[in-house]
Amino acid sequence: MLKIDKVSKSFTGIKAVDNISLDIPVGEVFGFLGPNGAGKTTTLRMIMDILQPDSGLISIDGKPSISCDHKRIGYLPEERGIYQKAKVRDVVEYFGRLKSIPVAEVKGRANYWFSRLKIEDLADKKVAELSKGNQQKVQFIIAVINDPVLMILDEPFTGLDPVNQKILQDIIKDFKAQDRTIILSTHQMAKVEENCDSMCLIHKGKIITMGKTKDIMEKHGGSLDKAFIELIGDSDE
Amino acid sequence: MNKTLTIAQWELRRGLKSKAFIISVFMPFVVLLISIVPSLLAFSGNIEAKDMGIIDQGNGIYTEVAEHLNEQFQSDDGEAIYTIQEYQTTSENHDTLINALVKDNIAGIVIVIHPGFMNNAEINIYHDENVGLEEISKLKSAMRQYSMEKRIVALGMTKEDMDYVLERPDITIYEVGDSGDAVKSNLIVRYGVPGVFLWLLVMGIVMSSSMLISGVIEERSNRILEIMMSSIKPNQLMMGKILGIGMLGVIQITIYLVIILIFSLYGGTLLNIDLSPGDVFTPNILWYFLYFIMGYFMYAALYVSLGSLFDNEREAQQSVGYLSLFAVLPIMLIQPIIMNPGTPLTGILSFIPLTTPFMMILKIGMLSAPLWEILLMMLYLIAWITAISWAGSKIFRTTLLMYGKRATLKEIIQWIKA
Repeated sequence: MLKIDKVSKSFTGIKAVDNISLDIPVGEVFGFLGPNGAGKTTTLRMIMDILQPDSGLISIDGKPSISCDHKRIGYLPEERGIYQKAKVRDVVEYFGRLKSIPVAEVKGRANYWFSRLKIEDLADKKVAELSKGNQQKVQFIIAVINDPVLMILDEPFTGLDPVNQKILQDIIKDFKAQDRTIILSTHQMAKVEENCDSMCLIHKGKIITMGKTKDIMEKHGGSLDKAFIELIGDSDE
Repeated sequence: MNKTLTIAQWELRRGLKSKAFIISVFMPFVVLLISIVPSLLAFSGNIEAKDMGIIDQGNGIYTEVAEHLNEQFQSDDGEAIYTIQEYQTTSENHDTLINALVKDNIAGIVIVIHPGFMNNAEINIYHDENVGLEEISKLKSAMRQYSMEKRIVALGMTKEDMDYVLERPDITIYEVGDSGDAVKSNLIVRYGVPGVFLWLLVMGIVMSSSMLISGVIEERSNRILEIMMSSIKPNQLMMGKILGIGMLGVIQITIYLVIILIFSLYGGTLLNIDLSPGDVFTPNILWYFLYFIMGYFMYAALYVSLGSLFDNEREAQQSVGYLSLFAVLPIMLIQPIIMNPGTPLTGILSFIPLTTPFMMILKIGMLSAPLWEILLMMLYLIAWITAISWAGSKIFRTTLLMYGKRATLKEIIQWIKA
């Protein structure tokens, strides 16, 4: 589904991503982990073609990312923010239209997601009137409104209460069951343990470990937290 | 193109709903009213009735002067405004008496006619703080007229002779255009209409600047741009924004035209001036309309490009505020331009893209700019708008995800070249 081949990216002489290669098959939930400033967001932005790699190639379904159809990719960036003065429904429909979905279809899909995320009664309110958690749900809807086959979720659980975290996890499971590919970037190791088939850990722009989540956990005493601390600690020494 | 239009539509809807737009539509008229109404009220012609003292120092003309003033200063129902009283002074009490008359409210105005008035025409007018500039100016001209009449009669002429001598010539001004036809000059058409359009464009841009820039700042500071960039290209976003905001300008000028039409229908009667829609809605109005829109588009492109350089609105408004100075420049220079339309200043300002739209409105109205120049300058402006948008999208692409770091001019030039 997604292939990252020897990709590097520098900013003013500092290597943010250093020769990374990944191959994520269709229908996989892939954990993309690393400490702050490891190069995760830069990599995700390159997948989304918001940034261009200095070297290497990113391809989606065998096509270079730069020329591929981003209409089928969903992106929930770590940075949250939507138009505060606009109505929730208008914002969702606007982003749907930006993803080339016909108006009538956007309306139907928006209603489905409002109801699935239990915010149907907030759809006609202004975004600024919503709680932070509910604003995050709106942003999640914007990410999935184009019915994506590849989803990139950067810290999707932050700011959500346990009930809403559960709702989100169920959605991820449904997506997986529908053979969609998900890249999950988070600092919450428990969420990776629960949801991700495989994962990689990057630090200082380089991949430190990659493989099946279970195997990595087994290697480090059954806990990803422990794996994280050991691997990042080792790499720093 | 579809996505560009989606963004344009979104920006247009957002703009129309914003308070800033409503203010920017009506504010120019409010400011115009605020600046005109008080001066209209100040020169309303109503002078309050008051006591007046006249000190005639030996000319024997007190009665004539009093009669002349009573004729000149009358209320609407024909009553004399001034209750005039003669006073005599000596060299000892002259100053103290005058001061006492005014200070103790015995007389609001004291006119002193110097000895030898027929030769030296010297008069002093003393007044209290309730007498305004308009009243003094009318008094001065009444006394000037009295002096003139007195001297003409002294030369042996009759009142009829005097009227004949002083009759003002009836002058009609014609302007011969390139076509060779002489057309009666109409000050409203030549100076008034382009002046109003210039004012509306300046105010429209200055008032909308905060709205133009805050849109981009909101998207940057709320990190909305990152989501947008996953669906569209920076140049699509940029073009969509400029198009949407430019459409706001079209709506703004259309509203202005409706207001101007209503004013031209009823304003003439209201203000007692010679004004009809035919004076205002000449073929030139099409050019004013187009230059207004292009001016608006150019400033929209500039503000959107520059907005992407700032993280917060306060910083952006400060820096971009300087740009609005260019918009105000032609208003500040309008007087020398009207007085001497052929000044090189007009030509120079026409070629500075930031002032081109304003100058062209002035040149079309006041200098009857030829058609080739109007069209050529339009192409010149379109080229600039395209260049600014192109450079803007280059800056936009780079600054999009650059937070907390102020770009230097050198960096900006590098991004544009890249």
